[in-house]
Amino acid sequence: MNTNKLTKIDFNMKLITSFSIMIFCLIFFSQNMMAITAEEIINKRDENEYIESARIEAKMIITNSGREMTKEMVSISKGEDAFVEFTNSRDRGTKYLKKGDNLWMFFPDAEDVVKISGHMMNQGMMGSDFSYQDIMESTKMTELYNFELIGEGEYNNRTCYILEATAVEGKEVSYYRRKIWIDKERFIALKEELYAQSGRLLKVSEVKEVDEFEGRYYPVISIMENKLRENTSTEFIVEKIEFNPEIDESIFTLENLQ
Amino acid sequence: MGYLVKLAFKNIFRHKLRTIVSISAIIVAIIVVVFARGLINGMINSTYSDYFHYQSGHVRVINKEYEQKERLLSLNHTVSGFSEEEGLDTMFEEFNNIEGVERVIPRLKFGAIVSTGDELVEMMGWGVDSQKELDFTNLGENIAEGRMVEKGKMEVVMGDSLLQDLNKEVGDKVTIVYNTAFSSLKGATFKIVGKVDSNLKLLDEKLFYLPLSVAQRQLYLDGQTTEILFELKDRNMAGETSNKINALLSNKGVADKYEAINWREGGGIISFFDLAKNIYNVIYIFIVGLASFVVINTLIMIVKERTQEIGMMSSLGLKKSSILKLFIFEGTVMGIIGSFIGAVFGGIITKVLSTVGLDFTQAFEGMGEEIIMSTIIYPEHSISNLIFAFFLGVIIVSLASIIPARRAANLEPTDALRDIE
Amino acid sequence: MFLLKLAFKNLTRHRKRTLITASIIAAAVVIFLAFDSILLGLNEASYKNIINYSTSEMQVVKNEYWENKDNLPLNNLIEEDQEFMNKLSSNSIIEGYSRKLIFQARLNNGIDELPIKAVGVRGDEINRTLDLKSKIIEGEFFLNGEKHAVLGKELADLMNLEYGDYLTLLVRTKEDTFNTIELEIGGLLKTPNPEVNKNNLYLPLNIAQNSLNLNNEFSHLLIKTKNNIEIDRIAAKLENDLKNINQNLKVVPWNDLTAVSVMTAKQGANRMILGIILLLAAIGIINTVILAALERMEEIGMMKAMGMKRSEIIISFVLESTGLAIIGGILGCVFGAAVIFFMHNYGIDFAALYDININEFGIPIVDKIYGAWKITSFFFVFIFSVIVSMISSIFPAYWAANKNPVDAIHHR
Repeated sequence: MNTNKLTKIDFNMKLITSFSIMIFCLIFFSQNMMAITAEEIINKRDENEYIESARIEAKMIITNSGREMTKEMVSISKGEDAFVEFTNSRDRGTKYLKKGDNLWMFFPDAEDVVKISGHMMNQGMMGSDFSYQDIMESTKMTELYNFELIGEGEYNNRTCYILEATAVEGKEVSYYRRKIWIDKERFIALKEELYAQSGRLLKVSEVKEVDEFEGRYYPVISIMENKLRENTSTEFIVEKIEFNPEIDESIFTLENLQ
Repeated sequence: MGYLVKLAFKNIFRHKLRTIVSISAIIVAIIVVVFARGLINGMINSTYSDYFHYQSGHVRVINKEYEQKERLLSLNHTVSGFSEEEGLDTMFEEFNNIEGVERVIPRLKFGAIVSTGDELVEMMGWGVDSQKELDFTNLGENIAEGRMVEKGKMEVVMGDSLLQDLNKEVGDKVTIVYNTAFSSLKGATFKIVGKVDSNLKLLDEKLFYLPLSVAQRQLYLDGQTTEILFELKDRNMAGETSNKINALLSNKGVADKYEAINWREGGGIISFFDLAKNIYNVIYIFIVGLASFVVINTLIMIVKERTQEIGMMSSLGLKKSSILKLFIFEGTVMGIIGSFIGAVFGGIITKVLSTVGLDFTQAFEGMGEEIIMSTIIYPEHSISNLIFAFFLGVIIVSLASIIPARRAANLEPTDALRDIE
Repeated sequence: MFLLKLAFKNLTRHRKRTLITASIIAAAVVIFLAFDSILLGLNEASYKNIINYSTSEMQVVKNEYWENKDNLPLNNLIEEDQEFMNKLSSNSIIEGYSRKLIFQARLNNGIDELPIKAVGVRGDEINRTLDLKSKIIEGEFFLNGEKHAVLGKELADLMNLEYGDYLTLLVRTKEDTFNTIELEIGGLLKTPNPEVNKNNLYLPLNIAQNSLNLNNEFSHLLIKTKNNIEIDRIAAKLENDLKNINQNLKVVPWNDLTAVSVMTAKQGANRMILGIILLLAAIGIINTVILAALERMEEIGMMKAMGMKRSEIIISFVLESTGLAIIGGILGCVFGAAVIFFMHNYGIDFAALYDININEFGIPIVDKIYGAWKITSFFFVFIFSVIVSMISSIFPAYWAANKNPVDAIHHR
């Protein structure tokens, strides 16, 4: 008698409910699938910024207590090895070779190669805010820091993930804590704040320009500012970059240095 | 009067032994005085001169800001001339024209390192004008092997201890690395053309010389230097001369940038030496006093011995004043003979030691390197020292003989004759 | 016995001569003692420079630390534990101790950076070993945990800093990580030690330890002992005592360090001058004895004629000279003691005479030079004069004693 009508309503209800549930689930799951972890963000950033091997022509503008100096260089790197040659007129012919944990320098007026070690490694390279130790750093950040996604923000009109990196206990890193703004779309670190263990802000690195190379993004103009000293900063400009070029292993030898 | 002198001489040679003993005392005292003064002066002068040569000059011109940064060997505050048009060379010329200036000596000081493979040896480089250095300081005498650097060449001269640390010898090459004025690390290879053995820690262990123009080029400091030293004709005019230099700087409009400091203002060990010199002079006077004491004692005893004789002379009619003069003459003659011989011998001893020197290296073992003090002391040998000692001896002996002479003169003949001492 | 009496009588007979000769000896003795005292005083003062402001009398460190000490490393540090501290308190050699953690830092005033030595100490302990608190010219020393720094005024001036200003120390932790320590300048120092004035900055130990990621560790233990003679021996003994603590410790006496000032360096030349003074004294003595012998030829002849043996004559002369030397020596020592007493307690005020900053070069004369007591000098100079007299009188005595009595009497 009324069972038919009832069944129809029941059926409709069930349909709507399951349909809602399905949609709800879909949305729910898809949200989850979209949610990204700090680890993933950093990895994506590394895909862009971490160099396996490359040839870079760059310019460094060093400002120290108001005085400005410009250096130009060509650098070839592969894995743990790197070879840098300066091309600006004052430093022309000066070369650096990094092989693993060792650093050698060659100067045009010198007849032999100089090995750099000990406390000299902590000095700023060429007077810049990057120490030789910093340059030597070829370990991936993920091995040295623990990352946490702390939010999102804007930098220079670009939406960014904000990550906080804290040094892994016992690891030897220069900066205890780093706050990194990573461009959501291009996965480039647009701004980085480097902190001392005391919480004091030591340096700030900001990227002014990013370019695309064969589907990969890379920062081409960045400035590192020393927050402990007035009027002291280093600007790093990439003029030309070639990823994974043909590299002759013999470049990373002392012979090549001379 | 002449008769008294003759009598004096006779008396002296009459009692040969007595006379010899007295004169010997005078001789030794004078020798000691000559030597002591030579040693003290030698020590003081060599410290002063080392200080002038290697630290402050008689006057020193630097950039005002450099004074504080000097310990870092900063290259940011240099002396570069009066202006764009009137550069360093013009500055030298004008400085040379100032009254009382004998020589103008530029130096470019900077920090450098040499990598010996396992360690980095830190040192200080001095870019210099070789000829001026040789003229101003005693560097020439201290170059034990090889020669000084030649203008414009990639050559260095290093101290013997430094060479040892680097395991190098004269004739070898060495690669030196330094921070330029543009904060770039730069290195170059130089030929070691000379070895310095100076007994000054600074020169032997820390320092290397190279031509000024080479240093300027390597450090990107063309037309600049970190300091300018002045050698004056008379170092005691340093105060006035530095005022004149400051006035010139003022006229050229750079008084707020550069300043001239004379050696007394510089601080450091030299002010201490002013003090030490005075302590030593007091000691020296004591030594002289002690020597005089000996002489006086001798003369007094001589008089006592001759009491009878004096009584005899008195009763024979010799006036008191004559007796007085007689004894004084005797004293003076002995003084002249003794002082002369003493001065001669003293001079010989000092001359010998002035070339050989007294080696105090052991005692100076732990001294710091910034302290500019030679470890071998050369007593000063000078004729004026001898003449001074001679006259000192004669005068003191003569004066000293007054006391006993008066005593002799005042003896009552009867007492004297009766006195069988 | 008779000879002694004779010698004594002779001395009192010729009172004036005795006094004069004795005075020469006395004068030489006084000059020697005074000069020696001043030199010693300056030496001591310069040693004090190191002991009172830098290292105290001894330092305890780990063996491996000492090998690398110039680099101011942060490893091979001493761990503090209760047992260790108790042992220290109960050790008889130790009069006082304090902990010190020294490390490299860059002093930053916002514009410039200067490499300096940072020293973490405890405000409540430091007085036991170093005299820093009394050298504060502005402000005061910090209490434990107070975020204050104490540094030399010279250093502060160099960096354009004043009392009350804030400064930043840039350091590297044990893991080589950058860290900063913000401190307010709580006190300014002016010590006689230029090293300390120009290079050191003091801060609370616990703040230093925290900033460097060190747990209750420190680099040096400063030790003050009850007596400081033979410091090497005491240091060795202490090292032995501490062996049980099992931290592989080494005790370094202050004189093991190469921080020596100029005054020590001039010892060689000074010894020479002292030698000159003694030489003159010797001359005086010899001279006197010979002249005395000459003067008393008759007497000698007489004595011989009366049957005195030659040897007895010689002995009597020698005794006389010795007597002279003893008198002179005693006189000299007494006056010398008076002079040294004055110099030791009141000092010679050179600052009033000279307008100079002597501290520039580590010469620790803050305002006065103080004489120092050295009893051995007294003994030395006394014995020296006696011996010289004895020896120098033998020859003339011998020569006089050998003279034919008749000739002797007729000597005049």
